[in-house]
Amino acid sequence: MKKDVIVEVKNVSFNYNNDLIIDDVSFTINKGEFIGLIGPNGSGKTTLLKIILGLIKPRIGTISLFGQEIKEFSDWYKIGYVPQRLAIADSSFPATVEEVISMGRFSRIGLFSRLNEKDKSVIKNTIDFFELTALKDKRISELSGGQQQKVFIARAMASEPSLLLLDEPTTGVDVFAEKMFYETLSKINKKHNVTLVLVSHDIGMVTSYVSRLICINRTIMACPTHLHDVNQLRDIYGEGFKLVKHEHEHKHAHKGLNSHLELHPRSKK
Amino acid sequence: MIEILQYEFMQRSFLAGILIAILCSVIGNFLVMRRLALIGDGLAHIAFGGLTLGLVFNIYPLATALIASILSVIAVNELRSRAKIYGDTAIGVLFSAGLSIGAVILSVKKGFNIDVFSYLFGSLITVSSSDILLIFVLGLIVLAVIGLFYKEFMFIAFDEESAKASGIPVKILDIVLLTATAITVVISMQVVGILLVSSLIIIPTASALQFANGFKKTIIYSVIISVVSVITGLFFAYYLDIAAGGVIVLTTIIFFIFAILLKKFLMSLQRE
Repeated sequence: MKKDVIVEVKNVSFNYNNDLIIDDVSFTINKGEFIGLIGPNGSGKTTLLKIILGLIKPRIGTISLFGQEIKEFSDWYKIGYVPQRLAIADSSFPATVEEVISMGRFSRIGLFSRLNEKDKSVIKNTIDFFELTALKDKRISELSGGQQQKVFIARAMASEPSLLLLDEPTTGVDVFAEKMFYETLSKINKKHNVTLVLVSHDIGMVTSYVSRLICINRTIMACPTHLHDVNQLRDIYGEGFKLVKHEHEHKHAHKGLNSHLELHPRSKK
Repeated sequence: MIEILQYEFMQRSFLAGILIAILCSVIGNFLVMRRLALIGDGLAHIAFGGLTLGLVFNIYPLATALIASILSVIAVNELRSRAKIYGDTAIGVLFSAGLSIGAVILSVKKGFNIDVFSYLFGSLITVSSSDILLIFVLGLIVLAVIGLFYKEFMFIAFDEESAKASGIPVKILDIVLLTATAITVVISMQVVGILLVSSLIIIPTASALQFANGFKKTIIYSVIISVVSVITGLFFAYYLDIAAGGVIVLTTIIFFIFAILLKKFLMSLQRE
């Protein structure tokens, strides 16, 4: 395995009962990349992410993380995970923003240990970086959707990960907060040199920021370095959509795409 | 010294009661937030089956109750993972098994009704010195375990999937938490009673959740509510000669109503 390959997915297939969810998928992710993992609903994006995280075992195939087979891998603090906000938002949970962000540090310190001064300092710096200082003593449930999402990324970043996996993080977040959110991700990728994998079906936003797209619909449909051929997306999403390609120079794109694509459902005649 | 504390059995009851109040409310926070609030009730009914077995075979009843409830934790876990049965369904099956075993034994072997009644609703007179020793040893072990895994239990209660993804052994810690719950339920039976022990697990947490800001603060407030309720309950039980468990739980319910009213009042102040 090359030194800068941090995730290697090799011939992975996964079934749920008799349904084939993922079929013979292989790809690699290199250090420093900002990957957009896109595909229509039910295409296996989230399942693939959970396989990489070791939450689900594939039927066949292998996963390697930081050069180690997943079975032997134990440095989970190197991987930050931001699940879908709606899957964890519990309006009655009393934890404060600071308590939630501290949870991200637990994988770094391990069982039986308590947060020491260094851990507390990292948590404080993370809160400052995400501009959450004024909100740190508030209950997480009192925050807006965009603010909650920021807290969940901050939690994932508290373990100082090398790889950050995000599962449709902007679900239920308004357009303004969504743009701010992508700006933050771009900053994490560039300033902190964290490799990002973003699962999304929001092609418009994703193509503006990522350095590479992996397109999946049960199997890998396209894995372009620069997505120039819109027909590839049509193959993935089918004929029920029309594609609009915007050519522009995007100031935020990191060694990335110089155009972005929008996917609109075709209006019924 | 006030009159009530002159009696050795009341001193024992206060000591046991305060420790049980702390245990039930601390563990209650993790169970309520994991939507496992009623597991205490299930385990108490299973313990009832074990208790009657102990009374019939002349074995220390708290020991048989403890064995029955710990075995049921293992059984629930096996049914969930191997037979793919939902956790609450598995508890429901074992809950019914424990209760029916108890009912059958009581109807066949008569003469235990007074003993059983004291376990069902709690009785201060039945708390012996050996019970106190058992309650303290097991209670302190449970508190130490919760202290040891506090951060992991909080993470799992908030977001189980992310806790798993960060390498926390969620399955093992689930068994640890449920075993700690089983022990808490069994050692609480004599003071609050089998039928009311889950109230002491749920209601102080539910009350603290109305106004506490932060998980740690919720635990602290629920402990205060629980301890005050137990002390109040024991006083009334002694002076009015009524079941301690009933008064303790009624006091927690008064706290709960007060907490809801307080929350409404605070929210109306914020709106203004």
